[in-house]
Amino acid sequence: MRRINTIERPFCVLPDARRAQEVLASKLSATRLAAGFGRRIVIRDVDLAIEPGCLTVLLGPNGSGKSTLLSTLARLLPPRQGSVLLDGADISRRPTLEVARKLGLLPQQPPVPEGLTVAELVGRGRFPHQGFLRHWSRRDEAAVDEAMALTGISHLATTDVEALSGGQRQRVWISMVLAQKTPLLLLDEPTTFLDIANQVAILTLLRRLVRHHGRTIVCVLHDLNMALQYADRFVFVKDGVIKHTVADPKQCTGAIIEEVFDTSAIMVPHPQTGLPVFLPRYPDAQGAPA
Amino acid sequence: MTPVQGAGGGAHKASLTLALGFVAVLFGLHVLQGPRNVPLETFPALLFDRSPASFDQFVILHLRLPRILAVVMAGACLGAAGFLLQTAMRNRLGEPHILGLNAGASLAVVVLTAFPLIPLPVAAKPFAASLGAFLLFGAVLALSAGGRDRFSPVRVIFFGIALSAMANALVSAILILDEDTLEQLRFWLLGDSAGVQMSAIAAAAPTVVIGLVGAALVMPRLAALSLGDNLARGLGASVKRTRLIALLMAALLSGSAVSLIGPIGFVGLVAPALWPRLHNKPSVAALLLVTLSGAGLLLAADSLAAGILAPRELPTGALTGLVGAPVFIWLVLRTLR
Repeated sequence: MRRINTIERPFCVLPDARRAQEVLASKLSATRLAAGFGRRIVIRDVDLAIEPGCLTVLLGPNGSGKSTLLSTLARLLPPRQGSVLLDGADISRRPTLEVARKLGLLPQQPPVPEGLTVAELVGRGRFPHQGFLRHWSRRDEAAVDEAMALTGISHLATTDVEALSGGQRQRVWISMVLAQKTPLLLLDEPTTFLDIANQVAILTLLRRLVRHHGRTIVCVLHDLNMALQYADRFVFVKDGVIKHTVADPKQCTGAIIEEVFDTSAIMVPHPQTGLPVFLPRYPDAQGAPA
Repeated sequence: MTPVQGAGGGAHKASLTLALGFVAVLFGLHVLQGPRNVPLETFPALLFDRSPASFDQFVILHLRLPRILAVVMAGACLGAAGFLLQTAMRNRLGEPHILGLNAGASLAVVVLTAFPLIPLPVAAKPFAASLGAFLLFGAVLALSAGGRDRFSPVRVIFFGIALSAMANALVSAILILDEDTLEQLRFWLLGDSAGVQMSAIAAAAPTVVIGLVGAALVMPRLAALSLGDNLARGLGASVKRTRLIALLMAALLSGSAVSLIGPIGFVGLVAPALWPRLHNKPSVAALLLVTLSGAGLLLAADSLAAGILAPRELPTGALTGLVGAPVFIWLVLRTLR
């Protein structure tokens, strides 16, 4: 099989000052939200307003309820209490197709369906825009082409998705939600299991979508340091409740990290950007791994 | 520019033409087949002259044509029902016979024949059979909905086989106690196309049409469903509603097929399996392809059943079982590793 270079863009940090001309309007918020599976309540008392035109990350230890919160915001899980509001209206009462034109969702590690080409899979993102008979229109075609160009996979259009590497597959999935053309994007761990080059490429893309295409993005990330380099707003979740909401990476202190992750960390600024990077703190220099 | 997709009509053109040609050839051969040698000159005359003067014409119009039409309809229904079940349940082993729809439909027909509470019009038979199929498969789904591996292929198949056995035991019990019904339904229960009346075909037409049109309309939703429940919901396709519509249509189609020529196994399994790259691409063109394939397969099976031991005839269902069971075993070995 042909090896395809996945790194189309070099590492770059976009200047913060440039904002998109217009932020696509769509507001997502949660009030007094509680949700869970079966009898277990996973998240509770969540009050959250997603800032339009920003890249917001949900951070927290394993099992803290970040993914559950994202699923509830995306109407996959019905709330036990409270509600999720999309543009002021309860998301669970709005027609699901109408919601799908405003809010796109990429779950964690979706199974790759056999026998689909990249273009076919990306085209599935057009479902909520097609009419009753679902005719494939020129607008659908343009949306798919644009989505593939944005993630740098246009040259793979006729390749089978199964034949792609993990990093390329993730770009295909992101293209699919981009083809959905929604102002809001909710992504569950879009960089997990990817190597550093692919993580950088995906996070750079998400930032570009926020800065230059007016999208509002919420994603769950596991890599705290990566999140701090790319995101605008940080929501720290622990034991199912929101502990901190921070609007600037530089306000993320060691104290917050210690409280949320129950681990001691040293903050060092990134040599180029000054943004914080957290490293493990050892009890004494001898305690450090050899 | 990206290649054709979405509606996908263009992509399947060659396969559709092939399948249509195959069905047409089998149709032609089947019309010519039979104990009585009908000369070819009779056929052009049929188009212009409808007087039942000649016995050849009677054979063609009243014996062979109804039989072939019933086989084409039933095969098309089974192919479409199999495709619906396989895509809605994401289970390549889904099939009306294995999942219990055929057994439910048979039980409904046998019960109504043995205990006619009200004189049942012929036109109601396909609906009754569809209702039986729906109820039995509903029970299969209710049983396999629990647990972490909800609707896993193995669970659904297991409960399908178990409830089919139960329904078939009830059918046997009723028939042993009621010889009249046994006489009426003996051949039909094995899947038999000989002696189908035009009235039965007309009666099944509404359910066949509703089933096929409904199936075509639910195809785009099934395409969204093939990405998994969560992505389907994210795209705005309600998972429950999509499954319910697909299963209702599958029940209507299985019920129609059973009411026409009895419970026929494996056509619903083999017709979609002929096109292995179609499973994650439900579209109207894909549905048309499996529908034509089902019709072609059952026509071929019926031709063989009638001709292999001529002048004696085998029931069509026995033949599809002989050919289909090995395909099922092969698919199980490949799918459930």
